[in-house]
Amino acid sequence: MIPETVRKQLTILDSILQEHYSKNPQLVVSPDFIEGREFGFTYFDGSFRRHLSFKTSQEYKSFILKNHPKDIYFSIAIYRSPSSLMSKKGWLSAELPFDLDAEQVLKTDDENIKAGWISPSVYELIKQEFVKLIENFVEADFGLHKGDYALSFSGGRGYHLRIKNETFSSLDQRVRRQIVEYISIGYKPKWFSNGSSMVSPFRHDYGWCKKIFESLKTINLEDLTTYSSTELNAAAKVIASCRKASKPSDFRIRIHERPTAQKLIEETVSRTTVAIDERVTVDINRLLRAPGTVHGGAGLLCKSLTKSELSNFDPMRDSTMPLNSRRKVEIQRIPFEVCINGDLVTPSDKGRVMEVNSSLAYYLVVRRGGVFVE
Amino acid sequence: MPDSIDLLSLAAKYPFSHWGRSYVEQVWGSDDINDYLLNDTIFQKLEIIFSWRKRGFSNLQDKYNVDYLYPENEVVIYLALMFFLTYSDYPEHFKMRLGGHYFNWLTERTSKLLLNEREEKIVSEYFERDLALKHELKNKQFIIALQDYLRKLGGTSHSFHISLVDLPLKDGKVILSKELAADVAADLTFSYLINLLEGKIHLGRGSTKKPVWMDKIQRFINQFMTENIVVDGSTTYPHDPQKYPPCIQTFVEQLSKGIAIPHFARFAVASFMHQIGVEKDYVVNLFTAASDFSVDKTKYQVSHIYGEIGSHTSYTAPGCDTLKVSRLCPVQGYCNIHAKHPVSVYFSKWRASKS
Repeated sequence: MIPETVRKQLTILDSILQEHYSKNPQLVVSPDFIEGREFGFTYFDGSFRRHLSFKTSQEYKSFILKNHPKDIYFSIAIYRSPSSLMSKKGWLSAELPFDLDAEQVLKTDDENIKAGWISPSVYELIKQEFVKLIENFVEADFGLHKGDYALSFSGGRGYHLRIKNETFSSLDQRVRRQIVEYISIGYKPKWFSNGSSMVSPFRHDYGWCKKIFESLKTINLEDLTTYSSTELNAAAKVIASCRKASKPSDFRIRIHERPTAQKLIEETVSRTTVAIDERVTVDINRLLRAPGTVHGGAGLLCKSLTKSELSNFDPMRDSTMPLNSRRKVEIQRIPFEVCINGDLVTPSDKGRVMEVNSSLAYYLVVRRGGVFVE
Repeated sequence: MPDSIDLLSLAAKYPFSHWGRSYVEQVWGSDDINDYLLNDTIFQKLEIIFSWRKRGFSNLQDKYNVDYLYPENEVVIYLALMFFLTYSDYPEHFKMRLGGHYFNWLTERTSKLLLNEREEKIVSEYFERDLALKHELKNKQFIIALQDYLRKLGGTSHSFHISLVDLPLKDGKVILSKELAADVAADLTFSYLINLLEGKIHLGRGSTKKPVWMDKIQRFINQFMTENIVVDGSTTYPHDPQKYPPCIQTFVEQLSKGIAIPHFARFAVASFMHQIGVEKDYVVNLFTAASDFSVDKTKYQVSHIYGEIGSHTSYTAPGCDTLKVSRLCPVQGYCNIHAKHPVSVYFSKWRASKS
């Protein structure tokens, strides 16, 4: 049973979504192959309806306009019969999804982040990781280009990438898992020796071997602050050997230098990997938030992006609900200043009743940073 | 097309390949396989094949030798074992296990032989004709489109020794040295042979006239089984909770503290225990601390999972990916290089402790 006070707040949140969808229907983006996708919706009463499907884009948009759900998801999978129960859907293919989430990327237990308070600097960090995923892995290694993938800001704590290329869409869970390992776990050096006292961690000159090799070359000894002086000397020799080598497979060190090299490589690997959510990538039936819809738990839009738009993208500026209406909100605890659609609230506003645009009001209330006063 | 001597030598080295098939079609003609199977050298070879990982055999210098003196024996062994595995009376899972054992030996040998081929064009022909993998041969490197490689991986039902992380990837291409090409070929060949055997077993159901040598091979296999640890497809590793994978360890710990764990986690525990050969009563006892514990209900459910009641089909524990998707895997990333399945992790820990 939802308490009456909470119910009132939820009703206002719901009405803001209704206002948004009715005033900005053009922002809702229909996915391709709409008739083969399963859709799922959550509502403010806590219900979750899935196994729904739409024949046309118009049908999908009308549904949203009529029901203004809290959250809107569609399947990365294409099914023969998307509205049937799972075992009878008839799986045909599934885009390969990647989800980068602040909590996972930063490996943090920060309560603010868990509650969805993502500061601009944290958003910037996640974006940098997202660019790393696109450029270092999806493009450089997998050889995919802009037409092969779709990017979006999730509306919440991070970014989504969906590889739409036909070959990748047909991959089963085992191969998807190998892709997860490639991106988020990385290379574990296997040491090779040609019978002498010299050993090499690289068997070839491409992929992970090249990434580590290039990164080792650029290590600055001054950055190795946790190393003892003996370790620093050993590291200097390893890095010097690396700089002398023209390609990864030429890099050789003496066998007694191996522990230091191993440590440097492991540190390099952990800097180079990207902490994607593995559960999302291996799940061939995953529902992902639909671009062009509002993240009901965050109040920002899940927004499709191109790679070139990404560099200047600021979620708090470019992914808000464009609403002119205003609401009165009593400000409670907020961890940092928030500016949406030109209205600003700061932590020092705590206890004040402020009239702000509905988009900012939604953002604050849904995170318990404020309550509507009506 | 190689001349007949080359063909015989290539068929002997790669009996399952297009060279093997050509040899059988062109040279062998109507000769009867039964004549060859009376040959004792064939049984000596079988002993190597089925013992190659045993102590005393693992370092055997000539375990991968090709019988160039009687090269046709190599083809006979392949054909005979495939026939035997298809039509013997063993249960299907055991046939696949035996097949896996043979194919492991065969593909390790294939890898070494391909590496030693003087001419890259032989390796290239093997990739093209037997693995159906288009490639470009440039500066002694085999360049394969990553998408073609992934398609190949997707068409298989087993894990590969070489993972994507170890492959030289650049701009959507896999750039293989001859050494790596030989390793990749071994992985793909294993997959090809396993799929082939699966298909043959499926199509070969029902009775067929069994030649006399089938009994001889069966006696050999039975003898081999009694001397080794493999019994009816499962191993006799003693039960050791220290070697549980992290997921099962976590579930068992939570159960012992009376913490309620999801139904699927309970299923994972029971089916895992069954697969590693743990007694049913031990499994029932694991659940005694649960607040809703009922001996009869638990016994009934565990018996179901053990295949003793109901459909009489024992259940397999869920794999790592399924546990991850169900948010039941307690590990970020994967706990072990063998972490495809909790049972594989358990046995790999056992093997590591033995070596």
